[in-house]
Amino acid sequence: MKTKASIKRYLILFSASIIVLMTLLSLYSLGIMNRYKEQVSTMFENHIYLNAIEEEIVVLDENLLGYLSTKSSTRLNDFLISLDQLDETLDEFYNKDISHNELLMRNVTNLISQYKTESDLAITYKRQRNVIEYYKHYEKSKKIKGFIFEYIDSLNRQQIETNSLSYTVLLQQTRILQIITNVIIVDLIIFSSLIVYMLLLKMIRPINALYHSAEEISSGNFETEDVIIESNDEYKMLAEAFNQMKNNIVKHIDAVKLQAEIEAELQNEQMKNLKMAYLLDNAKLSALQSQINPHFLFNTINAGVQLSVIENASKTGEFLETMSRLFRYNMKMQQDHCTLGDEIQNIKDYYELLKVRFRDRIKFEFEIDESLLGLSMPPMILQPLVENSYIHGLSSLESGGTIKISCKKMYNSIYISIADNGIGMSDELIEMILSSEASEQIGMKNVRDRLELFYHMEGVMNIISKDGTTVMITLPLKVLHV
Amino acid sequence: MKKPKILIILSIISGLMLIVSLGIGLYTSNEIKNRTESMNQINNKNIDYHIMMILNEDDETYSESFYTGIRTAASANKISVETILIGEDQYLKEVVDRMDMAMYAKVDGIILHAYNNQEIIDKINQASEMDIPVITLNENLPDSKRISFAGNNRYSIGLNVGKTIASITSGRGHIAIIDRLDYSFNKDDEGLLILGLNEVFNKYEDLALSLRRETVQGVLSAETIATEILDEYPNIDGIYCADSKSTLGIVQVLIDRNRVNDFTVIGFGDDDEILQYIKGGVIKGTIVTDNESVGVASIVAFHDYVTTGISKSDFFPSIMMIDKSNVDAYIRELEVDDEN
Repeated sequence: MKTKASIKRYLILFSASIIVLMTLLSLYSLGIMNRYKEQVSTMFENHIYLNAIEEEIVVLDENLLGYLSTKSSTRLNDFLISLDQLDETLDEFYNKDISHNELLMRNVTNLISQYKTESDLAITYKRQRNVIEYYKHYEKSKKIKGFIFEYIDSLNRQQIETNSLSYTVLLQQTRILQIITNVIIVDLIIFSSLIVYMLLLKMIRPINALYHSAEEISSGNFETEDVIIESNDEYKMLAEAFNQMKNNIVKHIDAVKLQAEIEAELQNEQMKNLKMAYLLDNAKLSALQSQINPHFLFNTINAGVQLSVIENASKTGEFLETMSRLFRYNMKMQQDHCTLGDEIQNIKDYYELLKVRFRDRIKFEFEIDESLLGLSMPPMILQPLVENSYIHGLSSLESGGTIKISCKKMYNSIYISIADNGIGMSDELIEMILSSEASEQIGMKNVRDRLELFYHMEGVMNIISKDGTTVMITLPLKVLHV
Repeated sequence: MKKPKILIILSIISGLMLIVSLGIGLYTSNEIKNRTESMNQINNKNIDYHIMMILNEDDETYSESFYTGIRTAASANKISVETILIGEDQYLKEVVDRMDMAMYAKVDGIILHAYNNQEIIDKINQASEMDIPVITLNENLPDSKRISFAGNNRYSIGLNVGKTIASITSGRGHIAIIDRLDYSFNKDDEGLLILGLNEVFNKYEDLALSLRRETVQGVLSAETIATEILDEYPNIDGIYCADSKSTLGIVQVLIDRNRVNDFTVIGFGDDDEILQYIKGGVIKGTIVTDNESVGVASIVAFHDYVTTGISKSDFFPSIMMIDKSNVDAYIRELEVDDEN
């Protein structure tokens, strides 16, 4: 991206501005000095020339007197040279257009002219040895010289009067200018300092913003806002690059985090699966333990043997058939799931065996919605519950009891209840079962845990103790379909 | 990123101060330049004629109004006037030298406070021969080669003073005149003043000019003469003073000696003090001449001469007697003139 403004440009602009301001100040001071010089020249140039004229007239007069006294050609020559010098000075005075009072200066010029005339006459009469005449003209020239000096003095006085007034004003103006120049210098320093300060702020602020943002990021806070720089210079480019870097880091971290979450979830799932397998194994073990209870097995087998011996009839065959089915179903528990019909059939088989053992003391009632029999569910769920009703609810009753198994569909859920009219359970026990971790309740807990793991939901089992014990299982209809 | 407002405000103020300071600095330096330019001018450059005016600085004719008249007329005719003032006591000694200087300096004209003195007349004639016209003030000198005279008509003054004194004294009394010391050899002009006075006094049997004295040092000399009159001339009951300084000197003595009511004093000039004394009745009247018109007339005479070769031979300004009846109106007139 091509930047419109840049730090380099700012610095060049600032330096140029300061140079221009300083140059202006210097030019301004030079201009003022020049005007002072002009004023002072005007004040004194006149004096200088008038004094020069006066001095040259003095020299001229000395040379004239020298010649008149000695008649020396050298003095005459000097006189003529002085005369030329005086003319040159006068010409210079007029050519330079120096300020003067024309009225008085004209008098001076005319008097000088008259002086020359009288001195020429004095020299002429001296050459003619006419003492009276040369003396008379010399005296006249002397008188005129006096008038010239008077006018020069008068001109000088006038100039001094003018200069005095001008000097007073000039002094005031000089003081004002001095104050103003001081103010300008101080103001320029302040102005430059402010400009430098603002320029530094302009340069430092983006760096500070970047620094604070970087500090936030380094402390782990990637939620900081983007650094916005309004200027269109290198800092903006730096800020944009910085923001891009920060956003890329954030995106990268998000991606890593997501991956970690997925991995954690996967690991969790694996753990659940392992746990489920473990629970299933436990259930199987429990079932096997209960089914392969030597005493039970013994009694059963004895009963079968007795039947087969005494009656040598079909019932033995049925019994054995039932038992074999039960074993087969136990064998099926190696699978992940079974149907509700399988579970019901298993209970019926279990009931048949119990009937052989306890005759009619324990009764089973089934209220099954036939349409639900094909639905899928974990295996070995109902048999432990029925066994639990039988063992803990009814076995201690002499009169026996009834275990009622019902399956209903309501809305999108399946309600399975195993209810007995036995001794019931205390609330503490129910609470313990539903939340217990105790091994005594391993069967009920195993069932509940497996159901929750299978359906990924909690609260699938509920126990009500009223006129016996009712275990309610609520399963979602959707998952039940095979 | 917002810059702190205070910094921006300070920068703006500082920038404005810089501009204002530079502006004032430039303005002041321009004033210096303008002053330099105004100083660097050549004064009196565009003039057509250069007149040298040699005056007796103690003569009160050459008042501010006289110079106003000179300036007005000179400016209108592109004439530059160089004024040389000589004190009264040195006047006769210096005036001839100054006239020589004027001639050596080849001025275009001379306005001269003249006396009837031969040396002065000779220099006037010499200047005239060098084509430098001379206008005389104070003395007419009609026998010299001066081109014009501008000044008071002393005969008219004598008449005015005489009439006033006669009116106030009802034609009775002995009058003394205190005049300025005159350096003229010819006393004809003093005769003109006395002639005017006597022309009036002769009409009254009991009114006579009894004493004439001259002052040389203004107030002090006048005070001495007044004391002499009071002590040695008890019959004198009226005094005419021919200049304002003498007038004030005489009045001072009369007040000090508590003799104000014993004398009729007629003065000269329109000084504030004299006008106040008239209002108070200490001085009965004062002669006032139009000095501005003298200044104007002298310049006009020169200009007329150099441009046409002819000029008015003499000019007499108007004379006015200010007394109690018209002093207030005169003061008002002066105030109006001052305001203008």
